[in-house]
Amino acid sequence: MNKLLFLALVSLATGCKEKYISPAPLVTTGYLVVEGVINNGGGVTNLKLSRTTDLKNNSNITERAAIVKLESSSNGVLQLKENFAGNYSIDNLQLDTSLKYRLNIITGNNEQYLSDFVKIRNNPPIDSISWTRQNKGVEIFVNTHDPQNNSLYYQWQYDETWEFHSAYFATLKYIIQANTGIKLGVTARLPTDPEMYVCYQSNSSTSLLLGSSVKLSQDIIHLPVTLVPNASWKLSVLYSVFVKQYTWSREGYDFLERMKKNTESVGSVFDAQPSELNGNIHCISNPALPVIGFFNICTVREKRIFIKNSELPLWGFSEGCTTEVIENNRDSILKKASGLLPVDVAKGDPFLIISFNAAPPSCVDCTLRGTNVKPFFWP
Amino acid sequence: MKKYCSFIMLLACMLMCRQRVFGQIDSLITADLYDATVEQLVAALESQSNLHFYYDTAQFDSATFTLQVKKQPLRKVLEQAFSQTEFHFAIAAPNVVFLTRGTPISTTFPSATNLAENTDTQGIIAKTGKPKAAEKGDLTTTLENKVYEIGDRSVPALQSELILTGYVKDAKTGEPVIGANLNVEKPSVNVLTDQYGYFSISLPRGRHTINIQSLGMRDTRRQIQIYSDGKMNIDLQNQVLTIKNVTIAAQKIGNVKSTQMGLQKIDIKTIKQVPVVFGEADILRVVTTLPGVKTVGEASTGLNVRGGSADQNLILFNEATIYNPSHFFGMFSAFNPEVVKDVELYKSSIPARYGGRLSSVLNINSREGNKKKLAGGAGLGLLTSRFNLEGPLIKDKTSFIIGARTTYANWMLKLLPDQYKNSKAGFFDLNLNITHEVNKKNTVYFTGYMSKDRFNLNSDTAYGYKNINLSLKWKHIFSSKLNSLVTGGQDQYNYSIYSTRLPLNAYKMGFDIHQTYFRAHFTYFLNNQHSIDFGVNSIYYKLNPGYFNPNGKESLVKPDQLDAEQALESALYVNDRYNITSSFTVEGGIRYSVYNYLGPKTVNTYVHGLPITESNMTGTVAYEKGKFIKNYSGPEYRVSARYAFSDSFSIKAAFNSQRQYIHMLSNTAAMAPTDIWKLSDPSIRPQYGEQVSLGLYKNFKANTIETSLEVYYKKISNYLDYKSGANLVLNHHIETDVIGTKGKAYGIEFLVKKLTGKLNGWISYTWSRILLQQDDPLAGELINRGDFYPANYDKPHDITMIGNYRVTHRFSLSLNATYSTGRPITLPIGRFYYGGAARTLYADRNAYRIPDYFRTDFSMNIDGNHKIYQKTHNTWTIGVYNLTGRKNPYSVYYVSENGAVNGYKLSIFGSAIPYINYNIRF
Repeated sequence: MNKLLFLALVSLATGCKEKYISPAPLVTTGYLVVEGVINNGGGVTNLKLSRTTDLKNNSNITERAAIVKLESSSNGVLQLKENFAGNYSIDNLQLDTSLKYRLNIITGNNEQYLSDFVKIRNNPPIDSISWTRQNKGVEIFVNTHDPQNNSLYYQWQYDETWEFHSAYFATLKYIIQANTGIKLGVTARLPTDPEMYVCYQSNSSTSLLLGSSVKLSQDIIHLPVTLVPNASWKLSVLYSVFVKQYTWSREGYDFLERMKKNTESVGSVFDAQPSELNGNIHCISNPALPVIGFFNICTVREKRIFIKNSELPLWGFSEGCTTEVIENNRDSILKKASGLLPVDVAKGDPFLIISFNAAPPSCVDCTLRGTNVKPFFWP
Repeated sequence: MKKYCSFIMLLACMLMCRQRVFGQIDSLITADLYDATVEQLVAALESQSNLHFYYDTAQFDSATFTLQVKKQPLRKVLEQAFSQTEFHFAIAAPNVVFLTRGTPISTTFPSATNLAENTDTQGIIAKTGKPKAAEKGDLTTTLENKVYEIGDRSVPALQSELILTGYVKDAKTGEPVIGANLNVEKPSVNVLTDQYGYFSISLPRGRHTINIQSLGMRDTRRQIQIYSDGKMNIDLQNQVLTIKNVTIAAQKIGNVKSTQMGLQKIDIKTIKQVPVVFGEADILRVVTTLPGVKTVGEASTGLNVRGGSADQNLILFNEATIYNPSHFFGMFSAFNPEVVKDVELYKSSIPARYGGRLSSVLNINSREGNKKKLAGGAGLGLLTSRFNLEGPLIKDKTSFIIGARTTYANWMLKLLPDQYKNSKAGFFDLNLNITHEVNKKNTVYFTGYMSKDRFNLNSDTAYGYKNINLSLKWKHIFSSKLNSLVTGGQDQYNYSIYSTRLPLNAYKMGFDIHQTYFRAHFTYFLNNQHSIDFGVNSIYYKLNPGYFNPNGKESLVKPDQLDAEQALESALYVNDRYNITSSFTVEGGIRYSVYNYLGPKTVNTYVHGLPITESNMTGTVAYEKGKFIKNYSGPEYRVSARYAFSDSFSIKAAFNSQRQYIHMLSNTAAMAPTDIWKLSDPSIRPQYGEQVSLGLYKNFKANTIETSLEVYYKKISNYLDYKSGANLVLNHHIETDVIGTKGKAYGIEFLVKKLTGKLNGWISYTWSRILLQQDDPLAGELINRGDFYPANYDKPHDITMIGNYRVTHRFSLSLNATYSTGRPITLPIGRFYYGGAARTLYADRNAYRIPDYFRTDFSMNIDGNHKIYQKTHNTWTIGVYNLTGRKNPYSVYYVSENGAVNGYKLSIFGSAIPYINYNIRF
């Protein structure tokens, strides 16, 4: 009986999820994808135009040299400029909230696209970004409320940035023979040498973060945005999260929710089947051509917070680095220190280094995992 | 064999007697014999009486008797003479004495305890006394050889046809025997007992032999001499398999002879032999092995019968409608196998008495309790434990059976694929049946059923659902020609979901169905040519389509409740089965159903002639309580015909139409417990289906091998499908999110079945298609440009083999194998970047298929010893589910993970799963 139970356990535990290669033939779809929200009331508006590709193509094919115009219901026209590949931009828009607007796109291959006319959505400022320490780590929440109770449908995007340090502060560097590249020995690093100890890394949200208060009696939002798992390097020194908030119409929200369901949560036993993605943008020159995107205007609201490692007792972050002592001569460096970087003096003094401590590069040079350029908003 | 001996001896005595002497039974005998031979003994006795002794001299060769008596009666004299010897005597009136060695002779037929008193006529005159020497085992034989006189001989023969009615019951437990076949050779009459074991057979006056056959019962016969209408109950002995080559007559000729098409019946014994996952004998899983029945996948017990969706099956458990027949995300069916007797699936010609669903009727009959003694059983499996107890409340009149089942499945969930690792699940089901025989004409049946599930799928959201069913049936026999069955009851189903993780958003939502029903069904046996069924059905529905309430003090959730829906569905029906000749039978039925959607309810109105969308909504109309908001009605036809070319070959054809007023709303691929139900309303029309089918039925090898071939074509209209991104939960205008599509289904089904012999089982093959179409731009968005597209459960090829080999009487091996085409899925054809990640672009709905499905299962059934008289009987079942360990994909899905699009196949049981099960019966 015990043996059988054991067998049952083992067999069940074996994987049930496998990679799947689609039998569908490769088709170059090439449908226009319109992403972005028109930011009314200060700030930059960025609209990204791209094309769908076949399933195996990993590249993002941007739509260049399109004419992108914002048209008002009173026939006003504003044009967005392509500032880099596929990114169409306009600054500091102050639109008349009593009017409706639509998007008019003419692509390089002369396809014309028009969106439905939409109203400018109200978007209340983010009240706060809060966090709590939980079993799994630090969970970050967005808190918003709309006293007018009519924003209801929200989307958020976030950018995380964190400062991290190398395991060892290197005071030494190799003396390298210019023409051969042979490491002759070590010498003290100078302040003009590139920064290797303090670096920064960042990351943006990749899933659609949606939330609605439509089922609540008040338009109040308290929803998780992201989770920093326990002992993560993101919170080894200082962590910052920057949240952008958008509001959508019910139809726009439905569109995003469908896209999320189609691409992020298909495959459990009870998940809904994938459905078609129809937005409010249509191809005028060829009405049968699908278009992916939903045109929306609101004021983009933003908020940033910082979390220090010192606020998180027993965070548990560890690099797992060790050092080795290497004789300061060409032969032992060649023999024992290949793939290591010098850290500091082990024996001797800075002017006569007999031996030194060395460690793997990832423990010494933080630029291998991030950038040493301090972001402009960093304290 | 003993039972035959006494008769052989009796016969032998009669033929071989050497002496014919006369004596007198009450004479007083005086004798003084020492070591006398039998001749001397008989001579002494016959000289003093007018008795006549018969014996076989060979048996008494060298036997000697010593006797000293003075003026003793004959019986005492013989007792004294034969005491301490192996000889027996039997005195038969008026003056005959049989002497035998070893086996005593019964001179009388057993009592007529099984003969029902007949109050209408003079009753049965049985020329019997009490059995004395006859042993129990002899009873059957003597019953078979006895001629029962039915009715009053003195009644003049006015009627040409006389009617014999009665019940066929299990002699041991008193339970009715359903579907027993009663066959009279001349004239050729064949009737089956109904679900209460009741039969009615019409015969000309005179002498007849009725052969009775039933599954798992010993074949028997009754000889009758019928003078007028009368009654006779027949007890069948259990088939205890102690001899080789026993033929179990499981509806041997039923498939050829009945006019019913597309009826499949499986008894629980067969169900229990079929290996299933975790060894849980599963009724619905076995039903899916029948031709024409499909299921979306392993985690779904939703049946798709001949292209019908899961909600188009009427699942009746003792007449109670079960809305969710599954446990544990659909992995098990919610019926305790220990309580179930058998299952009938009607998929083609659905009897007129059933209605309200398009595709099929699945009738699950539970057992009646043992009327003679207390008995029970218990079972222990890897996931569940079962218990049942049955027995008489009043001996031979009232019995009960109670069954319970519960699970301890949490350990298994820890082993499921990652995304379910933190899941929890629990379920139980309870059954109670009480049968009370008020008198010979009235029987009352009570059924109570409850099943409850609670689980959470790796989230902070808990799901729960519950079925509760109560029903009361009354069977009344008006006369030998007319009987009735009146049923009333209530069915309930509800589900709820709640979450408390985020106190601000903590909610509880749910939904429920209540239905109260009344059914009166009458069967009238006009004569052997016409058997008429008629009756009336009525169901009052009350649905609460959804509520969404705050859960906890901090919750800001705004309570939301959809209006309750009420409706009354009624039907009148009549059905006549007409045997034109013994080989040609037609059956015609009509069912007229009326549906009233009732207030109180506020109904949305839309611009007439425009698509039902939110933008075309014109307003609402409030209706008062009891007001008819919308009425639908229409006839449903049930016609079938059978022509038998011989006893083993027939051809049948049927036409069937159905209306369905209640719909299940689901946009998941599988039947999910959270799927909600919706009544037809002014915007959502009832579904309508028509089916024509044709079948050939041929039996081979003395009806032990049945084969059948059936083809069908089916049209469905107003089949509900969903617009892209439809919101089905708590939607105040659900009609704007659904589309009534058209469907067509066609297929051919082939079945070879052998239920007898050492090797038994069946092989079924189905080729079928189910295609849907939404080509009406007015109804809403076109799906796949208005072309036909396959439904989720369209699996053209489907082969199933169920095999059982009985190695010895205590050890059998079972193997099943199933292959089917993979179900259709919607696959992505492209990708794009949006929201910081690569995402998939989906193409036409259901344009591709997941890989084909193949699975074999194996099990061994080991019985303890077969001694009948012992305290407990044990059985072990050991098996392996998915023997080849094939990873059959349940679904294929694409996710964007860290910016890349990855495709995965998910299989529910991706390896061989061994199991063990222990059952005990007492």
